[in-house]
Amino acid sequence: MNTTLVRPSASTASVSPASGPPPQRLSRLFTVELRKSVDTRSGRMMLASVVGLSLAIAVWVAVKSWSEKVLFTDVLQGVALPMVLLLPVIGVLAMTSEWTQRTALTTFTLSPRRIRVLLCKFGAALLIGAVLTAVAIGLAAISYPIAAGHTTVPTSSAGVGASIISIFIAVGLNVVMGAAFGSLLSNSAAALVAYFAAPLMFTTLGAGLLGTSSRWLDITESIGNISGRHIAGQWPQTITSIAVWIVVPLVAGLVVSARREVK
Amino acid sequence: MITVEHLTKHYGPHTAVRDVSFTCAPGTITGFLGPNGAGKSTTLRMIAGLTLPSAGHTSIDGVAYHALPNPGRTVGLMLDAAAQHPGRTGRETLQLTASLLDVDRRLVGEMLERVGLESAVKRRVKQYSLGMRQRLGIANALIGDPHILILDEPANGLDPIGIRWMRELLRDFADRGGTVLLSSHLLREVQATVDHLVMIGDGSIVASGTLDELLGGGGTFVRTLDDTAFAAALQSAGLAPRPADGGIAVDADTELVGRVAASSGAVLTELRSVGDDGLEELFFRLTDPAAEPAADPAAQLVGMA
Repeated sequence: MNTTLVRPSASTASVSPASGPPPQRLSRLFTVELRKSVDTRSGRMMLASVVGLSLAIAVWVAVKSWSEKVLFTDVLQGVALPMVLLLPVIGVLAMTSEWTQRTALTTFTLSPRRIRVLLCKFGAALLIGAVLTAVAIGLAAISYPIAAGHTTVPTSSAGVGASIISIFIAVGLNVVMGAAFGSLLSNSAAALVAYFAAPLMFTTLGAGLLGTSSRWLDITESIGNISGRHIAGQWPQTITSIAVWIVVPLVAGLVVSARREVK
Repeated sequence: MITVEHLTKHYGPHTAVRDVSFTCAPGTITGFLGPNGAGKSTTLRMIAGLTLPSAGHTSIDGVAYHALPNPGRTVGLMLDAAAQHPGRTGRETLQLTASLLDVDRRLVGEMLERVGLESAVKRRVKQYSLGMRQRLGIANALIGDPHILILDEPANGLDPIGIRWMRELLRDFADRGGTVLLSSHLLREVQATVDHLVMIGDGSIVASGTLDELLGGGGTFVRTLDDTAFAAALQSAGLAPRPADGGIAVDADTELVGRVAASSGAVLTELRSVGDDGLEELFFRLTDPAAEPAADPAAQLVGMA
């Protein structure tokens, strides 16, 4: 019954030329993904609330430092905290929102090589995270001299560069971890809960179950060590926990997303 | 050219699509017909690389879908009118696609006009009716100037004017050498649009061929005041009548049988094409879960043809 009867085509073919179209450019895909993450009201609201919350905390840190003797690096640490905590939400939602909105169907039919799309989404989330972090650091840099002017804080700039770099690394790692969890679970709510709760639960329960060796798998402590620059002597533990909490979910998330059925 | 070969999809113990094969040639509109849940959408999703087949494969112009350099330039797809972000306007939605497909952004306005959405370009998709989303979906499918269109239930949510518009658009597309594959669960709806039919029921193809073959190929059923005399008249006209269900069945079209009746002076009380009925009956059995399942609908149709 599967024979197909093909009517000979008598029409003069004129729908599109036969020559193949140029391949889809990765740079164009990246631009489109970046634009998609900021061109909807919900996307902008999400970014705005993350930025607003981060800035509120940054301002609070700046005000708090008004009366205390703080170094600029201390202000940076204060600014980094909300960034490290909240920017991963961008990473999570970058990977999940299309599945929640059902637009994944349109996206993956236009760009069926899904790994490229996923990498562009990772890249877009990282870029947005980096820009917002840079803005926050800039604001810290503006607010610090005001605070310093009113107190007798030492204006040493020692370690500022290294501190900034470590903040970017910590934010980046957390954004990638969020994106990895997002691509693994595809559901926004589930991925957000898993991203925030799983490391917390491990930190709480791990020590009881594994004793001091739980530090080898404690991602919260590892990222804290990076952003706080206490990493000396902690490299093996840090790398192990990054591998378990970021690299493994990332690879698994890419594989799962590339094969997931789009309904 | 769309080629589907031995496509099968299992979900656990359930088989959604079973050994489905067909091709769609340039210049034709193929209707993929079947009741809800028969496996139409699953098949279309497998063609578009959204669902991995359990067995078999599909190709577009001889190439796997994911290997197309920029798929939207070759195949226009509309598989789900709801697959547009509700927070974007119609214009923004098309601009994203135009950008990805690397086509002139001026096409966005033209395309919105062509699908009749020029008054809604700045409204968010959230505020669109189903018919408007369907039109936006068509615009999204057409903007890359593809030569193949694959549409899942394109008439859904369209009013009669919209359906006629869609029919003319697809006919024009095919007449200019394009290939169209569209799915539907309404026989009457596709009958006026398509020239090929692939009917699917419970995951398997039960009939396929040109509309003429499927609708008219089953011969003619005729009833007269004197069937014995008319059977003789048919025989002398070189046909092979056989008795059937209170009348005569004959492998000829209604026009030829009517001519024989006119020249022999027989009084017709009934004259109808059997294939038409058979197809509709078959489709009805497939669409109505309450109806008795046919022992083997495919074999029955073949027997009739």
